Amino acid sequence: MSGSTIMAGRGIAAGVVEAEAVVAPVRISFWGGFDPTSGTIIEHEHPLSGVNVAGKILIFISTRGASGTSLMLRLAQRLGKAPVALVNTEIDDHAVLGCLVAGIPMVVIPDFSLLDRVRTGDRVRVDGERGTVEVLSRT
Amino acid sequence: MELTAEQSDLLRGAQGPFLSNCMKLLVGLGRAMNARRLVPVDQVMVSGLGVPGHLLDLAPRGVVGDSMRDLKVLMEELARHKVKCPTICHAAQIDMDNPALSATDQARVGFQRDLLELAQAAGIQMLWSCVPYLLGAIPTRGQVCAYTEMSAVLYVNSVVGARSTKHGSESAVAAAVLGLVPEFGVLLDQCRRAELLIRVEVPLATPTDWGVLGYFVGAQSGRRIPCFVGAPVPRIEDLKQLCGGMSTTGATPMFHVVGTTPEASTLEAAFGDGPQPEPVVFGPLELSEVYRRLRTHTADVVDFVFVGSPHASLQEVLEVAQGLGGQRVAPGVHFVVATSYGIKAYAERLGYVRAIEQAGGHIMVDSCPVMASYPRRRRMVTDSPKQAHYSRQILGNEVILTDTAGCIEAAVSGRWGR
Repeated sequence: MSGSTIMAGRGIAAGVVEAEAVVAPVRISFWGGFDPTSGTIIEHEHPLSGVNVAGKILIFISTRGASGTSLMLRLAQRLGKAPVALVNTEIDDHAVLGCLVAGIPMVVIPDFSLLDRVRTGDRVRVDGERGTVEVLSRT
Repeated sequence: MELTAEQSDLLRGAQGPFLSNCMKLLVGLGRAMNARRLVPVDQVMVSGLGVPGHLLDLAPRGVVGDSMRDLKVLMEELARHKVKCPTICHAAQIDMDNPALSATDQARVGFQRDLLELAQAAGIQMLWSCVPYLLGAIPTRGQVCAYTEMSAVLYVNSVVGARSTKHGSESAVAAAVLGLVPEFGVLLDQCRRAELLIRVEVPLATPTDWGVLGYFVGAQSGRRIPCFVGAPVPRIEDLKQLCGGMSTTGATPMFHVVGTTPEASTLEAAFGDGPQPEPVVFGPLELSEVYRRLRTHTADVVDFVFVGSPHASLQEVLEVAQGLGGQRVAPGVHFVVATSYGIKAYAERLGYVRAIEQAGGHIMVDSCPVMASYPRRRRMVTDSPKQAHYSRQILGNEVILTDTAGCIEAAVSGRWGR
């Protein structure tokens, strides 16, 4: 794949951002599995363990685990350590609420192949209003 | 989403900005989740109504103060508008009975006490527990709820047959003050069917074994609703641990246990018209694999033993007191049983608290180690897969998962000996 690639889904939380992508076929619990003071995924035995997602467009399946996801995303946002957008292949109540209250753009594309079509390090644009994800440049 | 004239007025701010913002949040959540309308809610479990704990201690100065100020403003709004249905609150970061156990400062304890007055004015029952269903705060079958704590969401949907989607602090507060929730997911009959079949092929001897089953299945199910066959009739402590384990690794709001839970009298009832998939087997190998993963110790000397996540039932507190049987907790071991304030009151009257404290143990209320500002210890023994999972990353200790009897043995000997 080369040049611009646009994938369309549903816009969940508005906002347009461009940033580097972190992509993984995983679920994340932002309470207990993420350090909001550094933006690092801290869950053990997790493919993203130790990865810092602050300022990144985080592309993954959806949230799981504790209900504190919205509190943690708000706190991370306040500290400047939140991802700048979430793109999910499933829609989960916790992720939706977290993005709405933290003001983080969110798109849901219910197609698992998304997690292969975008790679970590790609530069990506997310439009949370139109529900699109565009790969601007490959690593 | 279709809103009534009254709801539209609220959204536009006819009753002020606070209720308008609450309505915007519920409508935004509802639109995202394809809800068609808002429906009345019968019971709400809110969370986050307590002073910040360890997570904020690492934050830059000022953030703790900002968070406390925001919380006070929120509580004052709630006191002004009052909740519209019975509303209870999830566990907090401070043990108000024994603040030293949660290692916080006096200013935060005083602030927490002030919250109780505002909660009283708002009509919120500050249970500060993850198991309201053990305290009589329990919905009835078919009631619409808005719960936060995931193990309690699982419990009320699955065991009680009430209906709650997965809420966070903000949406639960909005639901309580408006008396409404967006209708989607397990609030609808057609979204409560089983989607995944789990065949249990190993005896489940203890509540911890049930918690291990939940921990295993949560990771398998994702958002799908699992249905268990082959399991024995569970005790309430078994179901509590099943919910705790599943809430840690999973994203589903509900499960069925054929022959036990109210919407699964038979396999056909659980799956409805949907297909019955090939079963996923949970046998001796799967059971031991979870125990292996939640035993990360590099040596056998232990300095921390914890029972009570989700919060211990009165029966569990009794079993700890009996299990100690006059023995003393080993020097250098911090032994804690976490429960709710209400259960502790009974346990005090019945002599269980005295028995545990005379042995050198502690009873913690309102909170648990991973929620409290808990000092790091080296090696923790616990009977809770949920606490074992989270404490590894939040408290940074090694963990050893075992049953409650194993916890008591380790507390008395100071070693993990199995």
